[in-house]
Amino acid sequence: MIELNVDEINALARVFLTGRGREEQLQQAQEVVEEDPQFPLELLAQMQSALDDVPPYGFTREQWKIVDQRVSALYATRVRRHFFNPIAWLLGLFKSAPKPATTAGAEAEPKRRWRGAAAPVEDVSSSTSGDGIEDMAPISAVPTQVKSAPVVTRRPIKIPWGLIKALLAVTLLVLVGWFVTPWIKAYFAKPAPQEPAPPPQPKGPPRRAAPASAPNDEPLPAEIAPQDPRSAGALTVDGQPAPTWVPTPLGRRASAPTRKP
Amino acid sequence: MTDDEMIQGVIEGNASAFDEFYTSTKAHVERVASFFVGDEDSMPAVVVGGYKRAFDQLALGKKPDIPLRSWLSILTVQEAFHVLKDMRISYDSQTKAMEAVAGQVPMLQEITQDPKERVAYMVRGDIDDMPEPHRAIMMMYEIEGLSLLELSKRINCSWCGAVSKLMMARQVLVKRVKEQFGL
Repeated sequence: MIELNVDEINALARVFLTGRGREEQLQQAQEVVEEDPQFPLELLAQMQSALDDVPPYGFTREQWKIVDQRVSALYATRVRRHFFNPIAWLLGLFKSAPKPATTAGAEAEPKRRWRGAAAPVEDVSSSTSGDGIEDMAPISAVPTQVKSAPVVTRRPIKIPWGLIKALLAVTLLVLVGWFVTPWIKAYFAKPAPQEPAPPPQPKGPPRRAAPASAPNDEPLPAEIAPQDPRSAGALTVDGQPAPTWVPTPLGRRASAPTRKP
Repeated sequence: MTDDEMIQGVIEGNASAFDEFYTSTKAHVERVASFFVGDEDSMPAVVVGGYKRAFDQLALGKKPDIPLRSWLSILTVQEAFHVLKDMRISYDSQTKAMEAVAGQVPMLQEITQDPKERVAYMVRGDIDDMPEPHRAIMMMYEIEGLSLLELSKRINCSWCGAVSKLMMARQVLVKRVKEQFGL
């Protein structure tokens, strides 16, 4: 790293700007400008003093548009997208505004005075100790109204912002919980037990029922055996369907089919 | 938003901090760049390059330890210095080309052996016939002996603008000399 003192930096900047330097000095300036921040500032200072601190030209409106677009494109790639963070938002609700820092020597910020409140008048009579004549204020300095009038101060309304914010936060949490709980329950609920699947139906063409006068005495398969009409639920009485119980508003009553005499 | 808050916001990638950073400093950066490359086509590139340097350093978490505008001035001058250096190199090479042309003129060969003196004689011989504003610029630089810095002050122009105008005037002179002597 090249280290130059202030005079050398001044001389190098002057040589460069006047165009009287040699190639070695140009090379040295190129190295120093990136390493020593004093050199660019010196170049700028010499240009400012040469031009009486008035720059010759600035950008036109069209040039500004181009530059604005290019710089915007430059930092658009560096912007980080922040998603909404409810915790940070909630914490921010309780964050109080920063108080202005007061230095040791500086006076503190005067307290806010409300409109309509009279400024308290200082009691000058008590400022002297009364021990000697030198401590007494001149007569012209003593106000005619020694005691101040009773000051009517309006009591400021204190808005409980903390309580309001807490209520808001709790309300928000409740609402969020109210909306989110069903989804959470549905997500963690156990799936309902499924009914066993019906036995697979035999494939192929349906079989024909065997004739009633089958010569053999072997029992017919259940599929084609004549079923008991009672078990099939199709009871008949004289060829008519059996009476069934039909609920009526007055109670259960058999709806008997009309019988032929 | 204070400077520190803006810088911190840029480091964190806050979009509003970027906007504030740029809008509050762009006039200053433009002013610094215009001292060096004010009326040149490269000025937008210098301003954008200065901001690129700033954003690159802040992306690495390097906060400036000097006031924000001074820091941006340094970065802008560093960016402009590349343009200045290229112009200086072009200017020096043109000086050598002029000395070579002056060395080819038979009359000047007889007068002196010093290449710089030959150029001075060549300028004095043709400067009155040069068109304006090239003649005025050649008068200030070659006859009055102003430096590039003083020339930029005299014509109220940026450093690169002054060098650019001087190089254009020299081109006109060399072209006239070549036409006169059939070089």
